[in-house]
Amino acid sequence: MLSLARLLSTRSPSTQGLLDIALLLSLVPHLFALKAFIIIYLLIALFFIRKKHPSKHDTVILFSIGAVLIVISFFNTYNFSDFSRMQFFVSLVSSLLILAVTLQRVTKQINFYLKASPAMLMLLSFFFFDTIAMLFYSLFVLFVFVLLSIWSRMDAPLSELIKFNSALFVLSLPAVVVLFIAFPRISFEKADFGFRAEGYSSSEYDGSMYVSDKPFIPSNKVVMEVFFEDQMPKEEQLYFRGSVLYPKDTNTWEYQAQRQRDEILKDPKELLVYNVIFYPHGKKWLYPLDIPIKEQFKRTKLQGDYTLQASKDVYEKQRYRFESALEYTLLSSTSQEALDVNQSAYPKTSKALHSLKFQRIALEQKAYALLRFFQNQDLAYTIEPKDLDLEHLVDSFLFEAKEGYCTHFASSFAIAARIVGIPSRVVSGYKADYSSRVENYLIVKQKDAHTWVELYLPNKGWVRFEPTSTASHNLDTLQESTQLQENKLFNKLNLHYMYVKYLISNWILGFDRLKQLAILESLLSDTLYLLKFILSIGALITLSLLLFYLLRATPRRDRLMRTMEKLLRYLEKKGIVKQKAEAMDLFLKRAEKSLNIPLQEINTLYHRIKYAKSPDPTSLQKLKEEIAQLSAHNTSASGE
Amino acid sequence: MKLLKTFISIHKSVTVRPTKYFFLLLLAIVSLFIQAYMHNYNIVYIMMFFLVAVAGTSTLFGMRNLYPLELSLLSHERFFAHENARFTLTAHNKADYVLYDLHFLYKNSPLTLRSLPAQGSTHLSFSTHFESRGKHTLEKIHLESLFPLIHERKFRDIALDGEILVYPNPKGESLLHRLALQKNKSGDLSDFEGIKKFLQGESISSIHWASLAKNDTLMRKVFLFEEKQEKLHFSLQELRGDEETKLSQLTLWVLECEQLGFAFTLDLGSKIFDSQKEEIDAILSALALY
Repeated sequence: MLSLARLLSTRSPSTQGLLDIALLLSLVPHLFALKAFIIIYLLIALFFIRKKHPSKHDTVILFSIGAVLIVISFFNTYNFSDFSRMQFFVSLVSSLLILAVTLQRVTKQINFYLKASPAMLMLLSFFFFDTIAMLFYSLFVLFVFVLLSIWSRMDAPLSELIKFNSALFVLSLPAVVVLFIAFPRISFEKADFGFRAEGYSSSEYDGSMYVSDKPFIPSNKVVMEVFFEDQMPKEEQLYFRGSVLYPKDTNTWEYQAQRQRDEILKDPKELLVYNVIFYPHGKKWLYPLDIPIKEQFKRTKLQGDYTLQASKDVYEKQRYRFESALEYTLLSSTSQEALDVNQSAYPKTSKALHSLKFQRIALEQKAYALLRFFQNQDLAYTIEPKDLDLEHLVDSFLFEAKEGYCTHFASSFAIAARIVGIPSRVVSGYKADYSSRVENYLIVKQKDAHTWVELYLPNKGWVRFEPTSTASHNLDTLQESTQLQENKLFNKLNLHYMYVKYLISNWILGFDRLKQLAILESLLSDTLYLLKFILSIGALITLSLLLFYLLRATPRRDRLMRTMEKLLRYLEKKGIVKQKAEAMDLFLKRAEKSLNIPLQEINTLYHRIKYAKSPDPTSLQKLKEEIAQLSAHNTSASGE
Repeated sequence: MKLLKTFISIHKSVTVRPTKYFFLLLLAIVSLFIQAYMHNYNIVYIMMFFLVAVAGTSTLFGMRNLYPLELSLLSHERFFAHENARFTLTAHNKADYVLYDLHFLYKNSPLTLRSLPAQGSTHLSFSTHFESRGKHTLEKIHLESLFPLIHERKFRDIALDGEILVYPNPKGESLLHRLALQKNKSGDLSDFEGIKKFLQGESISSIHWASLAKNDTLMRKVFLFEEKQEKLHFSLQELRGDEETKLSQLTLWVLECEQLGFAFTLDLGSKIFDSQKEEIDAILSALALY
């Protein structure tokens, strides 16, 4: 506490000190982005900079070390054909700048370039990071830079300086908000120079689904964040389609590019617009809600089966704005190819479904009959199924183990459908629920990974069926509910934290021309929106002014002057005004003479307090009383 | 409304001009814009907007820093034409906040004040000279500051109330020389005819140090040219030369008389001044305004 108080009372340090603070702050982001050898160089340079008695050869030695380490850093990773790559270029420029800055700093001479280097370093660091943390850090650094810049001209302790600087920023805030919203975003499409803003982890999904008896390990890792612009769909509609899979062998289902022939989307209804942030997973798969109705130019590619893929592997967080249909007809001319099945691999299932296969009923009725068949098997849902006979997987699941998770249900149902003559395929993706929802915001996690089945029905096309729902009970319920109970509060807090983060990410980091135009459109068409907008800006300005008022430097006016001001006001009303630079003694004597009122006592008290070595509260109190008495007496006298 | 009036008043009285750092700021803003434009980096946009807004707000703070300062003439030395003298100003901060980084400039004399407390006052002293006698007003004081940010300088030219009376430049024949010539043509100015007891207020240069050393008594020399009881008479009409030369001569004698403690009368034609009845400054003022 003592050291904090000491720090806050510090007056302006030397120019060298101010510059060192700025340099340190601007170097921090580079520590996370640059090569290890450059960081080692920085540590070596620090040793040279801190040397009390630098020698003439220090600069040469440091330059040699720096040059060697830079060459090693870049020689190892890049070749010169990479020179056009922005990342290589920016990394190299950053490293060279750091070398130049440290060499100049070792000489202990401050020149213009050294002064400008913190700003240059910060400018370069923006190329590496585009995250909320970087946003807050940059704001902090800008605050400190401005503070350091003012400090040499403000003869005041640090605490006063912080207050002043805060007031400066608070008053700037409305202008920043207005500029942020209104400044025309005329930029071209977001350039992609291959920067990897954050580490990514592979989804471990390679377009195949291997059905086995291995347990499914749910993870809370976030896959994507979704924000619905109008309203959240019903919980049972939250199916995010990934890839459409066809059987390769008895246990393996895979994405087959050759089957992705153009399907026809008819009568899309229940259209929804929503924004999605995909977390990096190193693959092209994207997971739009149900059926996306169009692709985003250059960024996504709509497949023949109305699944969506990114144009490049997702190595960094990516934001998309999609429009999907929740009600639709997806027709295919090649659906009969989805009937292939090796019935001999599933003798028990084939036998059990034999009568259904030959029933003369519509395919849709057969499909529902199949669902009832699954329900009658008394199947249980568990993420840790018993051992299965992998050679006869469907038979083993339906008639022996009778337990499994979505993969077992979906693959068995799809095979069973084919056995009874209904074209089928498995869809892998995510099925979210309302437990991860705040308002129109939804988090989809790894644990929401799901597979379901699409059956091709005449006139209806591909229709989604949920075989996992045929499970009569959930073996994991008890265990899960206990865990949920424990983590309920944490989950709720985390969800709200993610929601706030998303709002910042979406509305600040992700603010673009489309959002700008949407705001403009709303302002022009919706009077209530316009009113709300104006009120919000007004409220922001009021808040800024209020904060500015609170942050004003404490007036250094003493209590004596405040007390005397009452008297001065009183005398001013009587026509006696204190002249500029008129001594108080002369003024009071003049007033006494002109108004014929006793001011000698006040004069004596004033000077006693003013020139006392230590504060004199008794005299101040007496002065207050004298002034109050004088004004009261004269008011009553004039009243009489 | 009051706030708006204050703002207009501040805007009228304080002028803002860019410094070389303003162009650096522009360069930084352009660089940020290019970077933001390339990547639609909203972080960079935000930094750019903050830079613009903070620079703008800083201008307001800078103007607010100069506005409440009041200057008034407190006192000054005697001013003689063509001679330097000092004058003192009272700088008063009428605001409830501290003022920082105040640079005053009067003609070529600079003066810096690191800070001035809220409602506080301080004195500033400058040196100047005037080319002619008579009433003069002081030129405006140039007040300048780079506070809070150095991308622009804020300045105000503050006019000072009050006039300064500049007396004629004292020059011509020395009074002592003239008197010596009148008294004893063969004697020297430093010759003295005896000693007498030193009285308080008499010139130290007249002390007879030998007496002090020998008898430990403070005695003074009685010079040849001294006529204790004789009152000197100066007349403008009796002097030769142009008007300014005559006034300069008379000013010199008046000052010498003041220094030596001689009584005199001064005839300016329209009025005769008696040093035993009127203040020296009043006599000098008459010479200044003649």
